[in-house]
Amino acid sequence: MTLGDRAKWNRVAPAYQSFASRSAERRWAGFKRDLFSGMEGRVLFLAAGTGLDFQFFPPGRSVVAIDVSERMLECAAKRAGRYEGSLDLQQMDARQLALGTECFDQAYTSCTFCSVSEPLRGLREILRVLRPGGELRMFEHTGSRWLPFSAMLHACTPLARRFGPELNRPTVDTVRRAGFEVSGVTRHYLDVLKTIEARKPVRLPPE
Amino acid sequence: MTAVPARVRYFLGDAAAAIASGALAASLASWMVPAGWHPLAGMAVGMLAGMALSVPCALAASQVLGMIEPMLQIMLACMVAGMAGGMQSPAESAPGLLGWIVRGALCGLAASAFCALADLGLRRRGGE
Repeated sequence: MTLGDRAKWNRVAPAYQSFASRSAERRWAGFKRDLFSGMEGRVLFLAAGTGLDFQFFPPGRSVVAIDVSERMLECAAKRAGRYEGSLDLQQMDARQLALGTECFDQAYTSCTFCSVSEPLRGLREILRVLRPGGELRMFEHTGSRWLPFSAMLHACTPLARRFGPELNRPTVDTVRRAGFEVSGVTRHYLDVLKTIEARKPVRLPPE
Repeated sequence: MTAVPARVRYFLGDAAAAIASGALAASLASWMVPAGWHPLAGMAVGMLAGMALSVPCALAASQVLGMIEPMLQIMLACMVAGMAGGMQSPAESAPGLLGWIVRGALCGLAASAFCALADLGLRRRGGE
């Protein structure tokens, strides 16, 4: 994310806390519970935001949760304190993870790569910090392959990106381009909301 | 209401939001486009008005229903209802406000049904 992203998310953090998320979290609770139920080993969680997703983490896990915005993390800290396990919050840019190479077993994202400025770069960073065979599990909203919805999402994106996410990203393709093997995509709504499961190849192809 | 499965509650909620938004969009578009305009110009203005209206409608619905699902249905409803309202408003046979509310609501219902059917079709096709 750029400095502009950081400023943007710092600016919207208070509103995001109360406005943009609770009803969506209620509605998506089942999908998210399923997504996070497979947490094991050392886990990286990207774009913790205000920590609304922590409630879906199974207890007793070891998670490093990052976000670019310190204001978001301030909101997340209270929720992190209620988690029954190890949850370490760190301010960090998804495009430039200050984390060691191949030191995580899994990485999770939840509505993250709609907002990271250079998604390919961010995903390559995740690839770097995952151990070979490590898993990437994502719950994301993306562009749609269906023309009417694709057109609407493209039309809305210029406005939406000023206050938050982009609505038209081809995230599954970007995950592949970053070097992951996509093992499954579950569509939850109109090819827009989906769960993506991918794995870092044991042996990376030559650059 | 708690006895009704969440999925059905959300489906009905989304449909209600799309119906209300469609009614508003058709009324707004028919009010904006004056008599004497070419129907295509009216349609374009109506569509833009509908799209603009869909933003506050979607934000309001997001407080109760969530973000993405109602947003898509509301946008589709407002766009179609706005187009219809803008295109037919200059015609001599154009209905009054109540007529536009009913027509816009029907557009919302159709948008909601279209989304539900499209979603069902995609689910049947399964994942990648």
